[in-house]
Amino acid sequence: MNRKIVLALLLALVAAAPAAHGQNAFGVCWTPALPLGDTDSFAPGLTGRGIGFDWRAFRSREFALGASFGWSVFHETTSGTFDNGTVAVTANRWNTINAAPIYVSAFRYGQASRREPRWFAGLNAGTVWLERRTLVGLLEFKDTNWHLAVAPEVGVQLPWDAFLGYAALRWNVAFSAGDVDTQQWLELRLGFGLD
Amino acid sequence: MSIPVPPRLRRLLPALAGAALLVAGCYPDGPENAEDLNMVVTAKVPGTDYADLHTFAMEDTVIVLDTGDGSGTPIDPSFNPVILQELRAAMVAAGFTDVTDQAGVEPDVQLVCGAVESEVWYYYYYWDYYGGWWYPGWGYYPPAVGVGSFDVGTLMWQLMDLRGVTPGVPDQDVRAAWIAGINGVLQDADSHTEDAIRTGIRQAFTQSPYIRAAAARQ
Repeated sequence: MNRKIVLALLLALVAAAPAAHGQNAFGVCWTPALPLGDTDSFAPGLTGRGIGFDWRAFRSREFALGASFGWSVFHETTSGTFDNGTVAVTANRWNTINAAPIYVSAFRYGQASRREPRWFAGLNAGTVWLERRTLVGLLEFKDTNWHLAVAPEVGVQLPWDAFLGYAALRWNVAFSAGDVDTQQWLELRLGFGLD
Repeated sequence: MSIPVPPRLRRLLPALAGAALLVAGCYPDGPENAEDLNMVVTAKVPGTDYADLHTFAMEDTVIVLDTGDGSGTPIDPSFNPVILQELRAAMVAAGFTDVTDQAGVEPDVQLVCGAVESEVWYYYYYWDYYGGWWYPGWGYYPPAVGVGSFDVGTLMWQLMDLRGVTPGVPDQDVRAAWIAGINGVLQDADSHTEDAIRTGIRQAFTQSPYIRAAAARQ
């Protein structure tokens, strides 16, 4: 049900945004990410496997509504003996998290001109499709859920003639769903476009 | 003939190309060869007294395990001597006395083992990359879909606790004291597979320090 509500909101936003008087902007970004909390316990370490797509409709010079989706992959390979006191298993183990956020968003921009860096801050909210998978030997354990999620974000829109379009820091919080606890990761978004 | 590209879109093109490459490389590393999938599992049985074990006996055959659906086949018989030899050596190394051939001597535990080979089928799906992103028309061949299979070998053994069992009395309840097994990809009957069997058996004893004869504990 929650997923339907979020998707309905997203569709409504996408339908409404073109009616705005401002311009639309689209961006593509690379999203290296640092897992936090339970995500870090499952698949620790910085990952460079991530991509994001951003779309914003500027309703005024300082305010934009938008949508964002992406894909991040966290992965860890371990080898050793896992012993719970009764059963012991020696094997290679591959832990992988595939996370695909789908957000609607609202952003406030600074008032600098396009020739200057423009700071922005905003909030993304929506859902994250998240798959946690463990492969041990020939056995696979997989848990897939849709998580309600929020993601505060701050960033800077670089001048129109800069090579890079924008840089931002986004903290993704995907609340617990199914048997999976809350998942978090901090991602750096280095993108082209959005101007 | 060239197609005019809006300036804003032109800025996005390298990003889109890079993004496509990034996605192509996004799938993380997994098993790279058959040995990566090998697994050794051991389980102690709650309630078992492991402190007072001295002797063992074992069968001289590797039985064929029942997979339940009749799909299993015996493993290559050339592996059987390797399995039996390694299990016996590991028990002796753990301090147990082999009384298999001693008439009238009842062992504390009886080692029984079985193995089975079954076929695992899998589906694969991939896109084959054929060019650099800078090359006009860069991209991928159409996706290929297919099926493949590999043989999975499973070797299991148990120590049956014979303490308290009266010889010659039928239908007595015999409990397992230890259950162990190795599971992985069986290749041809070669030295690699034999090494995997030996390594797996040794690892099972290593990760089960409670399987020690009383004499070896002192």
